[in-house]
Amino acid sequence: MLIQQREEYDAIVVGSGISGGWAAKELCEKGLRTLVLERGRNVEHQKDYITEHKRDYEFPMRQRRIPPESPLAKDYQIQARTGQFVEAAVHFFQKDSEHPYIEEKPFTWIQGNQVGGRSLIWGRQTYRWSDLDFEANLKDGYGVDWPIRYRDIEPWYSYVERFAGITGEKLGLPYLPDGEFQKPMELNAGEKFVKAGIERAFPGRHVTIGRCAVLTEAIGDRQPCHYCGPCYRGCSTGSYFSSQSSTLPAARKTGRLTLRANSLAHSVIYDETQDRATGVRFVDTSTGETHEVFAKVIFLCASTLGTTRLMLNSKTPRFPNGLGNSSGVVGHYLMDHHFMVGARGEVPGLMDRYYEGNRPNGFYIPRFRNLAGPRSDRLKFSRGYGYQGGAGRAGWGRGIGEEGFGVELKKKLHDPGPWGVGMLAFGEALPVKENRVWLDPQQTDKWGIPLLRISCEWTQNEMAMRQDMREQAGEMLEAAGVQNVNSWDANAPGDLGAEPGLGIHEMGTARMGRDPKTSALNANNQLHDAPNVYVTDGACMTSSACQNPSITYMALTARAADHAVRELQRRNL
Amino acid sequence: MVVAIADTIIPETETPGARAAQVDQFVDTLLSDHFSAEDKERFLAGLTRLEARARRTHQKGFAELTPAQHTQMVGELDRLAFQEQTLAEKPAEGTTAPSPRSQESDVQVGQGVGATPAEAASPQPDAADVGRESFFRMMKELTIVGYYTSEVGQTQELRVNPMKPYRDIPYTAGTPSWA
Ligand SMILES: Cc1cc2nc3c(=O)[nH]c(=O)nc-3n(C[C@H](O)[C@H](O)[C@H](O)COP(=O)(O)OP(=O)(O)OC[C@H]3O[C@@H](n4cnc5c(N)ncnc54)[C@H](O)[C@@H]3O)c2cc1C
Repeated sequence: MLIQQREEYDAIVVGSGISGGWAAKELCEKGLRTLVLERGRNVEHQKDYITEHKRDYEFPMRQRRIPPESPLAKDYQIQARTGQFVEAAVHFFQKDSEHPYIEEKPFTWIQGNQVGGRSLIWGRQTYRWSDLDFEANLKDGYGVDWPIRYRDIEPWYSYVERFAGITGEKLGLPYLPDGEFQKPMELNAGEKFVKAGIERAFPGRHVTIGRCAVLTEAIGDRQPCHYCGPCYRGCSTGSYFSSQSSTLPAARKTGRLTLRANSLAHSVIYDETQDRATGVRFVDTSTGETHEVFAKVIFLCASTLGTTRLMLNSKTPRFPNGLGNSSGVVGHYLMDHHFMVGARGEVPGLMDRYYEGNRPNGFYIPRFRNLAGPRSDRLKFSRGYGYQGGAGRAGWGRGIGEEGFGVELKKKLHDPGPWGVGMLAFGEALPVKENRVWLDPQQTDKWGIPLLRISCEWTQNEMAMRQDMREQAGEMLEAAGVQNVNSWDANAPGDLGAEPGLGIHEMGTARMGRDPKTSALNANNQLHDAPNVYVTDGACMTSSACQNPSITYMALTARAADHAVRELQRRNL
Repeated sequence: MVVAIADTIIPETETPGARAAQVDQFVDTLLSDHFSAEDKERFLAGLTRLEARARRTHQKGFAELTPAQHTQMVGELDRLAFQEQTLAEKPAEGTTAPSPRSQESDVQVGQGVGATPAEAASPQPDAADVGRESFFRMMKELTIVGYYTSEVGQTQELRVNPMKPYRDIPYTAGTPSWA
């Protein structure tokens, strides 16, 4: 049934995750009456963090990872593929049984389905891009050139960082620009050992404390981190950046926000007579009713593939291949960061050192390959990668893999064990046309929206890079004096292990570019074909770099909202 | 029976052991709600074998044996379960993430609790009791996890890492590990 009452706003934002939250805040603060449509349930800050600060023994499974084989994962066959799918966070992941998609090749699509989206469960690592990244496509010829450069986004990085609150250490590296950092967190003794060793053996490589969206200094009524550890359960002191703790309250404060949960956007309404997008059609999932809402400007922030699916499903006579898809690129050039490759080993000695507090962060090794351009090191691959890692003393878990029982075992596990260190690489993936998503011609979800089909696999470049990622991880740890170093790669082509999607940095399927024939979006994240529609989530990304991308989505969203409001004032939209 | 095995793996000392920590309830919960049918079957078959072995050797059910007999039988299972460990094995599932907490140490620690001559002379062990896939590996993991994630394990045997700004601090042997 279609509800006929005409509802009008100045702006509609689809999605309330990291990018949708930013769009809502900026548009509301700049004076627009804004409707946010979110397909998932409402999650109220503090009240709905039902597992926060619970001890392991308060969970029936003692807060285990729930693998796909577990009966508890029956409705979560995709979500359970990530190690982050643990007992305490199940309620923040979507049910795959309700939101299926089709894998032509293994692709793990991890999704939140609630107000706040994945901002509630993200890993919070935040690294700026540089011109090494924005110029990469132009220089090595993969993909199309970014229509922006670092100077275009630099003030917006600063703007979003000051609001979100980023802890980190300044390094002064041109290829990993410093941000507006709060006090850094501390490295532990094992990490200091590894840092000293790697920096001694490899001049020019750095080991630094992770840069992340967790407060070490208060911002307004958001308190500094209290180091309880498991951020992904929600944080009632608002110490990490989420839509709930940060952007949505700011939007609400203006009195101009209307947030509608359980509202699944179906398609964008395109008025052929006016030749413009005029609104959004959505299904109220609690009643099954279809509604139409209208606005002057529309921001699509439903996450990379959510937005892409919505665009492809917005078929009209003007856009038979989906909204804003006259170029045909929408759905193509899907990227993710390839990871699950690295090394680990034992840090000798330091038996008189330990640590206190539960730090929601680790160390970071910035990219050191191809720093003068995507191929400057003349390796077997273009572009580069960085590592994330951490050290710690072995806990009681070591008893599981070793012989021994009884009083002896108990005595041994009473004290912390030897120091271990592990690190994991995140590598840039190339934009290639064949890595793509499209709508299944027959199958739909229970609301009648066609299912997405995904076909994506790593290219030769990623495979060659992985070899280097693994070797360098091992070499660096060994050079630092780490013992029993074991380097590993979980990739199993055609199978699960390090398949695309698992990096949870999917992006690129409605890319920005200079030419409307080869890109969907312009330099301001407007659809070339429909300038009052902005796409500011990961779909807009023209290349993937190797840094965790969400801080870049935030900056691009704030920048696009500023553009939209100025264009509205000039009556250009 | 599960209680008796668990309590032999983690006995009471100055602090309570697996029995007081109700590890058997944890095992039950996992078996019924979390384990695949196949793993559940493997686990139950292991229990049945152990029970039969107790009756064969001691003419009593496992639960009724003396502490010394428990130690002897569990010791034998432990030895068999780790027999292949010296060979190069692929790393266990789930240990690939660089979380320091989940890193298994590669060091071999012989506890000297091997088989008694009588047990060693007993007939060929069942292949299902040998190596990584053995019932005892499962049982041991469940006991260790169940104990050290219990309230007793976390607050009496070990201690909870406080909510304090993260610091690199000195350590003296004998201070409990963080839970
Ligand atoms: C475990 C984990 C760790 C991560 N770690 C990091 C990290 O360390 N650093 C980093 O940069 N990134 C990280 N990410 C990725 C990060 O979460 C995403 O990049 C980010 O959330 C993307 O923001 P978004 O707004 O585009 O999408 P989301 O945050 O996913 O929000 C999209 C929202 O849109 C809604 N939606 C979808 N379709 C529709 C529709 N048709 N109608 C209405 N609503 C819809 C969804 O329900 C959701 O709420 C991590 C992700 C996960 C899951």
